[in-house]
Amino acid sequence: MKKLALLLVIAVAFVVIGCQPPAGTVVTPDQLDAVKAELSALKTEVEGLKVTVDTLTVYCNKCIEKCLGKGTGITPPGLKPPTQK
Amino acid sequence: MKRLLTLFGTVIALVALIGCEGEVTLEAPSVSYTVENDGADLALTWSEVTDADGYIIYGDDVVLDTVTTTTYTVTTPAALVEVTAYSGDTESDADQIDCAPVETASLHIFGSSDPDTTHPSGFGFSSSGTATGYSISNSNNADLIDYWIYSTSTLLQFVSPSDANPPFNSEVNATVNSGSDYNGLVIADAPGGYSTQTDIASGAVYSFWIDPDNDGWGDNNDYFGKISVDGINGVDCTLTLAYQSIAGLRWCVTP
Repeated sequence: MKKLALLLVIAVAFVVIGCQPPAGTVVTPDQLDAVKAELSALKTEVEGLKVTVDTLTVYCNKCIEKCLGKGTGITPPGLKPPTQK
Repeated sequence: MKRLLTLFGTVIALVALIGCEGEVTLEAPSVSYTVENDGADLALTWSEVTDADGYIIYGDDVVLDTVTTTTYTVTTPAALVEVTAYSGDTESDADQIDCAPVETASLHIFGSSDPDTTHPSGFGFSSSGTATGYSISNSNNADLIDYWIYSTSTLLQFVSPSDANPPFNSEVNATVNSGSDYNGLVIADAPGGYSTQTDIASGAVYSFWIDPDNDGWGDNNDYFGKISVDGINGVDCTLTLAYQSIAGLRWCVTP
């Protein structure tokens, strides 16, 4: 019985030791806030890049249309009255 | 004997005089022209040529007239007008005026209802007179269009670029049906019967009048010519065009 109790104590001890977080991986609230701030800054930066890319895309499309001679469509919807001369 | 000697001397003197006369060399006249009578006539002017007895005017190698003046108005359409100076049997080189229209054959123009918007539904003439088809769906072509073909399921029409809604450009160009004999039409119709919208029929021939300023006939920037509709396949029209490069002149003599 005594041996069994000792074994149980040893098992509990292992469990307690096993559940301890490894040294150096503990994140403090301050660190978490810093990461959050960094993420927010990155998000803002990505949004800025997206706007830049969209602007560039519009500009490039215009250039390509100009180079390939594809302007905006001007198919006339109809006719004005004819002129006799 | 004395009489015989005198006669002999006179004959010798005459022969010597005639023989010593140099051969007459005539310069070709330098001819300038203006277009008159609503584009029906070509008025010629040139400076007097030294030693010339007169001048010969040709139209397509046929003598139109012989004159002693330095002006002449050609009223018969020709592809080539020439003027020479003459003295006796001697004739100078000719000064030539090229009146032949610039021809473009087998140009395919598609009616505006064609679903393929890359097909040319408009056409225009270059400064040299060559016709080129242009897609009317491309705004870059707007200023190049002298005419376009409007189409529905039952109708094809030559239309002025100014009549499109919205207009392609401000030119008020017109056409008129002139029969069916392309080579027989040697002068485009006179102003008065043209329309900015003209129905198109296969085999028909049309006179055209490019009038950018819409200011009536003029010899500054008005141009004339003729169009033959060689065939129609759906909205695909095959055209032969002749463009007179001399502003205001309605002549369109083709071989």
